[in-house]
Amino acid sequence: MPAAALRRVARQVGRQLAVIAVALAAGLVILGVSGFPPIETYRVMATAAFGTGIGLANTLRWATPLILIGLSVALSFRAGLFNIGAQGQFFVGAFAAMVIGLGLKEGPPVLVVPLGFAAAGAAGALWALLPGVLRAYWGTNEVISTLMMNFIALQFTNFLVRVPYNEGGSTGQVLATATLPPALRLATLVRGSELTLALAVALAMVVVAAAYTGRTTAGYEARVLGANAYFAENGGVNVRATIVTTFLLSGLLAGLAGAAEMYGPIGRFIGGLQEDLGFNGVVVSLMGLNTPWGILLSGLFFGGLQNASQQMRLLTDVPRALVTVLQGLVTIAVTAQILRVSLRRPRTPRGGQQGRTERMGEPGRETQPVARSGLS
Amino acid sequence: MGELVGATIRMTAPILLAAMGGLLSARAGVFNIALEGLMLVGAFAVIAGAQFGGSTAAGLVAAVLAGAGTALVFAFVILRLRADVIIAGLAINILALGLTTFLLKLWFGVEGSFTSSDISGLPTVDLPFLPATFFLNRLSVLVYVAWILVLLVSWFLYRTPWGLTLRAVGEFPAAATTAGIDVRRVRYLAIAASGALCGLAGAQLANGYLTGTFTENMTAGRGYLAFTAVIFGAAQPLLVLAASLLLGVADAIGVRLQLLQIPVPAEFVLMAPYILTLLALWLTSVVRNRSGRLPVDELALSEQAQEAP
Repeated sequence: MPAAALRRVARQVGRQLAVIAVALAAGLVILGVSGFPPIETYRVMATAAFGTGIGLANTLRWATPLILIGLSVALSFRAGLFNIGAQGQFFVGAFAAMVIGLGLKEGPPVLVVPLGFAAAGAAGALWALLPGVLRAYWGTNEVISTLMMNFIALQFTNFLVRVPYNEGGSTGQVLATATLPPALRLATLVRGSELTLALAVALAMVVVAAAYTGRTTAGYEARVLGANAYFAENGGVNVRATIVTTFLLSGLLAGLAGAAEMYGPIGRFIGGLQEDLGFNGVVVSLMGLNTPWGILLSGLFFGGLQNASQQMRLLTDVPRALVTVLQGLVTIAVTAQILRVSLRRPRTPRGGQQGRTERMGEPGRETQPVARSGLS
Repeated sequence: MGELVGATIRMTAPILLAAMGGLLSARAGVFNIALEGLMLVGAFAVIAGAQFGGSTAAGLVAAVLAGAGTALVFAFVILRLRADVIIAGLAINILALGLTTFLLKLWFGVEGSFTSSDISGLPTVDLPFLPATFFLNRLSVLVYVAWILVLLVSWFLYRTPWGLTLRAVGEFPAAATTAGIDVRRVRYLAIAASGALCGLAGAQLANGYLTGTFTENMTAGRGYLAFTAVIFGAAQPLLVLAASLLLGVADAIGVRLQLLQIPVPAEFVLMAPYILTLLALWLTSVVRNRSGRLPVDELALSEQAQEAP
């Protein structure tokens, strides 16, 4: 790697670390004001998440879906598309994995499990297809459409759990499907922890995503689209196809996260499970500078936080909601910081062959460089 | 039937209050997805305020102040620190969820839910010409406020110079700047107002019906419903009212399907508003693409917020 590029990476990493430090410092203040020992609390949490073998294994367990969802978000962010629908794509993916797993209970695991992952990926991609097509052909705002798709997915899977798949799993208020037979569950990697082979899927996807964005034409075109949509259009990138492909891949990764949870640690679909995963994926992606390897690291960090929050009640008197507070603080810090530096939200032309600027005949309003340099 | 109408009115009120807040900030060019978190803060503050301040009025004041204060943090982050509007909004929602849950444990020593018999509900309006048990009688005062607010906001937007200023800032900030308007200040004010209204929405949710209760994450997506209503209603007060009512009806019917003997799963009723919004969104973009009219795209709105001078 050339020295200049290395320096740039070092600077970005340093900045992200500073961002975490600021957010954690704010957390210290909150703890102090609330009358808890701040440093001690952090020490206990860090030990719980990273200090022991089991702790580390469970951190990796929580990092697994976060990495997959983070990659899903990053693919769309890099193309300048704001897919916040990972949550819904995760729901339908997880459910599709259960449909395969419960439907082929007796089948050979070497076939059923991969089939389940494939179905989950396909379901996630399908769920992302509609917002993608609407965006590509009519310029429909993907932030709102993917948000709507999240709520639709939640209700849809709630219905599936409550009616056609309501066999044995539900107790009281909790609606759940039956549990997958042990033969179909991925192997536990560290005894006494919840870490399963699902981690390998996440790691493999990091490598695949890195290869896709760094070494393929399609990945390159998506990046160009994100960096400068007008350049992409004039440079011969098929904008519509790139938008749709990006949504499909993004949905596929979120769907895989669903299968990873089902065949991995959870084993059954619970209505509305892990409903903050989609948002946490956004944070993981931003923290990781929207790059696959960065996401691997930030996934570990947030996996550790998640793991610590699971154990908080046993370890300290501090409410476990502290972790949620920290997640919010890190997000604010990272978005306030990152946009000024590297992730200035790129804009894409809305479908058609012309960007809307030309169509509107008022270049000053929509053309970012003019507006920015003129006003700031 | 009367019971259903009553339930619809009750369920609509918090959504409508928050949606009016979302409308104000949308009209100022800020896409406020933080309604959910602002509402949750209001719900917590109305209970905490009543508990520690000793009166329902103190609770209401606390809700409004907490909502507006949190909204100002949001405004600072997006307008001064130039954070992305959507991400910052989602972050405020997470932060609100975390802080209210944290404080619930810290101040009231409970997890999950806090109810106090010391807290009396919000004052109700007793209409003497209606029977006491009639479904439209004895509703919380905020229910009436919500409906009156629609008219007020409508009048404010289209009949006052401030309303004109607000719309100018949202639709063409560069021109507003040229005309001598302080775009950033207008946005701060609009977002603060939005927060205050979300505070009221939260107050109605936590203390508007029967006893005062705060439950962890008690908004449970109602802020997003309000946000949906703003989009579905194209940020027009009367249309937003219609959208809020639609959402309220779906909510009310959804939990009563079995009583009403309607053979449709509740989930599909609850899903319907989102599908309709998606459809409306798509139709809007089809029309916009065809006619080539001014694309007041919501995305553009969110981006403009960062370009405030």
